[in-house]
Amino acid sequence: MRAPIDAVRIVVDGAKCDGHGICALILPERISLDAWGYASIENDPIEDTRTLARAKRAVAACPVHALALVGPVDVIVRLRRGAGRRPRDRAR
Amino acid sequence: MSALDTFDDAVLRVGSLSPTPEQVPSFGVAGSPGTRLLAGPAHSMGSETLASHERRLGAVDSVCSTPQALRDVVRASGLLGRGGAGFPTATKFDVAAAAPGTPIVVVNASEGEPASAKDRTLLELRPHLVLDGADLAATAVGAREIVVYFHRSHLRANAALEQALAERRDAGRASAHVRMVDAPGRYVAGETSAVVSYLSGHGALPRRGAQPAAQVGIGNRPTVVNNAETLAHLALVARFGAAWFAQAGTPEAPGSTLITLAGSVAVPGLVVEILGPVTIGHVLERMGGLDVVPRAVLLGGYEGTWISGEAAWHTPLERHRLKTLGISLGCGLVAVLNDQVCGLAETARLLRWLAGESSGQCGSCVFGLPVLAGFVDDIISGKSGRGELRRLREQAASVRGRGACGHPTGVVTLVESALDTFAPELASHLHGAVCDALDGPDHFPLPRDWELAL
Repeated sequence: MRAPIDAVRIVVDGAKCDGHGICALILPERISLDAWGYASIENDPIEDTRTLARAKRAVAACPVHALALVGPVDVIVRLRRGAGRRPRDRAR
Repeated sequence: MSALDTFDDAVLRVGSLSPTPEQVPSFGVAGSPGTRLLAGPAHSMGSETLASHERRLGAVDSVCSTPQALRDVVRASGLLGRGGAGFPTATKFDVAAAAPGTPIVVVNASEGEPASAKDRTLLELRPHLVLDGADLAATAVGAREIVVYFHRSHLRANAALEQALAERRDAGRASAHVRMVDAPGRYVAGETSAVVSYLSGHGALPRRGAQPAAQVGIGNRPTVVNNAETLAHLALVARFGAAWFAQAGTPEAPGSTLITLAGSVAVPGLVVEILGPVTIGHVLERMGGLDVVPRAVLLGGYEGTWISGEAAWHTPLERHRLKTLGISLGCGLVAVLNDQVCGLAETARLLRWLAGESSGQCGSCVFGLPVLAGFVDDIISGKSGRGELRRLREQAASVRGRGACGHPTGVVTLVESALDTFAPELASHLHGAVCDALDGPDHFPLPRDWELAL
């Protein structure tokens, strides 16, 4: 049985964020950059799978590991298992 | 003899604080009848000795002898942490007791709020109450080590604590090893993750950890960081039980609460214990010596909320009721601003200091807070118009909720509540009126080394 994914959120550790800004290019609907270039995150749960896939890429793309997906442990573990796969791999 | 000593002597002599035992007073200072944490000798008598403490309060109830029984009593009491966040103490204990490793107990009396004095005063006047609480916390979680984290530069608190520890050693009361650690003098150094980081041998920097300190703290051991006032309450809960504890306070936040009066009151730094329903105005009238409604009151600390004097006067001084109004009582600071001082100028002064107190980790705080301070400085210099005000509000909103700790959000709360509370002053500043945020007796205190650095 698939666990519901609606409780997953993306969070930023402000102390780690150095303002590279890559996340805001990958996930613009959730992440904006403030006046000084640091990631500012809309913290609502991520509902749809497309956004979730890009949220995973944003987390993986952060050079300083400032981003994380948080949620129920079983959901996060399942997401991590597929973390290395890019969307086009799955389409094949 | 300080102003504080003469003040509480006068209060006791007049007996204005309900001398009849059947009538429970709703507030009192050190030595007032009916108080709990502050019961015992008056402020002028100084630190309470172990002999007097034990004669007055007796031994801890034998029901609380096992860790599980003690945790059950704490759970039943509904005791909430008094450092400002109001986290249930029992939950903290349960997490630490269940976590792997031997736990450590930290007495957090670092009190980074410059105008707050409750924790320092507790250590100074009732050191055995705090140490009893620390011992009980150690029993509850199975810790053998206690760290008292406070400012050793508060000489009277330091002396009281050293003497109290010597007395307990001589009387064979010491159950756990107690270590005193000098806390760094920064605003954010008392935040739990900063305390844990400092005591682990790093800087006193707040962290955004995946796990709470009660699970993984100092040296990866479970660490129970409790405010000094919380532990003092614990010492009484273990003696008199949960039902007695709930006779004061409200169902949502049981027990009495310590507050500190500051600003333009009779005795700045006076610590008052609130036991029952009372309005802010009543406390300010009786304990603060105010005969007129002040211009405004800052509640909860320098990162708290401004409200106008008229609004504050009839508002109940009670954590839960204030919370429903969107105000946090935080560390219990009630700072009074009289009408000789411009509230926006005072806010600008606090902002400049708070911006410098950032731990320098998060961009939104490092860059955002000085910008907010600059905007408010421009407003009080009469250089700003509606456009700058709008940009200030936008920037403030963009900083809210950011960063690894509550510092930026707290600063935004101060700024936004100032703009609302001091709307008439704001209007005249936008028309070019100029104010200076000078220092003087009417202003709120800031640490002295900061004033020298300017």
